[in-house]
Amino acid sequence: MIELPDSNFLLPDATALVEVVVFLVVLFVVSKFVLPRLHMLMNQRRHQIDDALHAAAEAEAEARARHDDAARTLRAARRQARLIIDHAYERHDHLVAEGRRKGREEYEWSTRNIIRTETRSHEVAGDGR
Amino acid sequence: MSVQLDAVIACTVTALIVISFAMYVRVTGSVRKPGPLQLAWEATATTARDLSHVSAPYRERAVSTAVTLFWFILAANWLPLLPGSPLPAPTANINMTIALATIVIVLVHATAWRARGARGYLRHYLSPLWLAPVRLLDELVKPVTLALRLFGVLFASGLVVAMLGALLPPPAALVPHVAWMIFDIFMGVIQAFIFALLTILYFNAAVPAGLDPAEPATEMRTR
Repeated sequence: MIELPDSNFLLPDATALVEVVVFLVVLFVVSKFVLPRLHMLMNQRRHQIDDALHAAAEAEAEARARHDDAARTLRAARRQARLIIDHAYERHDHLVAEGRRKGREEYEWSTRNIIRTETRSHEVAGDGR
Repeated sequence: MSVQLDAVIACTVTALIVISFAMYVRVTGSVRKPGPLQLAWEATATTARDLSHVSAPYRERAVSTAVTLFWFILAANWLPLLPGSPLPAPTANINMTIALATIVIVLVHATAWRARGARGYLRHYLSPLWLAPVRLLDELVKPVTLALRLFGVLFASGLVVAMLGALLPPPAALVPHVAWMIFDIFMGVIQAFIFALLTILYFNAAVPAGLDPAEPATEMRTR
């Protein structure tokens, strides 16, 4: 609550001089002791943030390089896997053809054997009669 | 000449509050984990530095004056809002605002004199000669407007509080009183900001960047 003084309250008096001194003391303390320290703290933080951003950029580049490496390795692995699969299919075809050939040969040999044995049996039976 | 003891006490208490907070910020200031008060002081200093286009050697003076003014006026404006505070706002007294405005104008002109030299200082304010009376009048009016603006707002605010108390019975006065207190909090910040901003603008006009030949004119701020 404001109490109006008896004199003209719009005219300054000696109070202003005291208040000038008080404010100058505050100005001295703030400008000599507080703001330089704040300035130093802000600069240190700015440097830390800059360093962290730099490290983050480096880490991002390294991660990108590793990702590229991984993609390259994966492509090579897929290519190698395809070769192995193709080779396996070829081997499979070869083995199947070989098996068929052997089977057919064995079949023909067995058939010939049976016919020969049967023919001989007929001949033996004809002689007996 | 008389001294108003309550105004001096209020001013001293304000100064002690500002110095206490400032020293607290200085002592507890941290790079990694700044507290809210430290961040507020840093924001004030950064804003002042961004707004100041003062010649580099004198920039810190302008910034520290504006930052100190902002916190001092803010503390002074909020002093009666403290719970149980018997003290009036020192800024509702013409002596305080006249004192602050005088300090600002003296600092601005002393800095301009030092930066420009006596001849450059006089040339800056007296050329062209036919405009010199207007410029002198402008310089004379600056501290008066600076002081009266702050005083007028805070004094009127105190009057409104007094009128609410006088015109309304206590229970009915509570709601408008609280509403006005909230408005006072907001207005305290605005008035402190305006005073600090005008201080920087006066410094900008008196000692602009590029005044020193060694300093590039385009260089406005250090970040």
